[in-house]
Amino acid sequence: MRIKTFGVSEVNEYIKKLLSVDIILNNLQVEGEISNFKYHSSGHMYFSLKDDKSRLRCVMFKGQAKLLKFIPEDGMKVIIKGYISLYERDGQYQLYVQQMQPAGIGALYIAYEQLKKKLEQEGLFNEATKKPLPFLPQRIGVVTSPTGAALRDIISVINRRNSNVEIIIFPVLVQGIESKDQIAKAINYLNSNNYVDVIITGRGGGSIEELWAFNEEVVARSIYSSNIPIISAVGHETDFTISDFVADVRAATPSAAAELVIPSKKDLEYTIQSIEQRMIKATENTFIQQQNRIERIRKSNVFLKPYDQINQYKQQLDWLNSNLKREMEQSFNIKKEKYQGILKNLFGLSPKAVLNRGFNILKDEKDNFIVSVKGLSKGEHVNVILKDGVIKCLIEDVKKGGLKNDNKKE
Amino acid sequence: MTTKKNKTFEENLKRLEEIVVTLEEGNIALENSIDLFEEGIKLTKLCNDKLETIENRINILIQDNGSIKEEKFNISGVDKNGF
Repeated sequence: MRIKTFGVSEVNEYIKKLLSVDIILNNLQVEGEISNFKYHSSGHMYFSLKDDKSRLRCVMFKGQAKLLKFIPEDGMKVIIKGYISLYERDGQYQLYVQQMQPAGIGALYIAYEQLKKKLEQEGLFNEATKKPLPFLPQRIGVVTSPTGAALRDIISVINRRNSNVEIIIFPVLVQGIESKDQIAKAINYLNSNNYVDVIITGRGGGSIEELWAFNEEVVARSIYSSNIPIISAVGHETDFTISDFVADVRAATPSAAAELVIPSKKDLEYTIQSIEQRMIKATENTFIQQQNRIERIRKSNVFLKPYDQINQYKQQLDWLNSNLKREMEQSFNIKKEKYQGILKNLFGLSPKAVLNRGFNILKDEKDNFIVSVKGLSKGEHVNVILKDGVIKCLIEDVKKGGLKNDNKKE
Repeated sequence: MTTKKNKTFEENLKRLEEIVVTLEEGNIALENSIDLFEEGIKLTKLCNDKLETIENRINILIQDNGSIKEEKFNISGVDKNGF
């Protein structure tokens, strides 16, 4: 039997044809781990899918690849839908991937984690770049569905808290393929002409798919680049979207966003009122204090009894005066008595007192006291003064000494 | 325009709080306290007025032939079962 000789491409063509008619290989679902992943600049993805025994070459063309919510990575376990065909140039069969799902956890979950990590590294979640909310906004922009409960909640809470504000609604779809671009465009539009003081963007609760627009990169970047402060209000308390991380403030719910966006008018009025009252009270107190000071001064004795002190001094002066008089008299009397005593003694010493006791005083004719015989001579006259008269005597003789001897004799 | 008029509600409220604290401390001359009191009363009026100046309006932006215009929003159109 003669064997026909084929060209290489003829063989590959034939194999390709065989593969293409196989029912199983044409609609295949394969689970495995990604390795040697290459994301080519053309937009196509090339990688191998492997298990512990062998590997399978895979290609995912741009058209399908761009629909992926996540970017495949080496080591990632995935479930792939596609078909087996032959790459004729290399004679290699490979799995042409049409859909890819992460095995185990959902694709959206992975996409969420990947975008979160990426934006976090870029600094989009930095607290330092977050803008403070205006204290009392005049115009509040709301980017949400015009028919949603979220909008209804936001409007009713704002109107309850403080109805003196404008609400500008930018209607957008909040789920579905167009929603992300609509939300981003709305935020950019409100920024382009500084339309509002603050923006609330969000929606009510839903599944991760329904909330997905708020996990999209384009929405996250529009929030980050907004010059107007943005409150993100997506779903319920437990739902955390990428928008929540990028936004300046995350509100747990749309109602909570409305609570955060504007202060209660009643509270503000109360604050102003209480400040006013405190101010009046404090000023009154200042007045009262000053008045009290004046009153204290006015009531002090100096003003109340201006002569009091003088009278006191007068009284004291009188007292001192009488004291002085008494003291003076006393002192005079003491001195007088002392003087009289001395005088008495002095009288005792007087020659006249001596005369009383029998002594005489001898004087010459010129009335000088004679105390010595010196200078006396016979024939001279002397006067002897007695208690009651004078005896004129003529000296018969003068002797020196004698009295002493007489005394000795006795 | 004077800078005083450009102050925000929040700035005015802060100034008011400063004034009341200064007045309550009472370590100021009577004349100064009267000046501060007058300033404070003016500010409370300014703040109260500001709370009333903005009229409540709810508008929706409508795309119309590529341009965007504001229209009054009808609240009753909000769907209670919507998202």
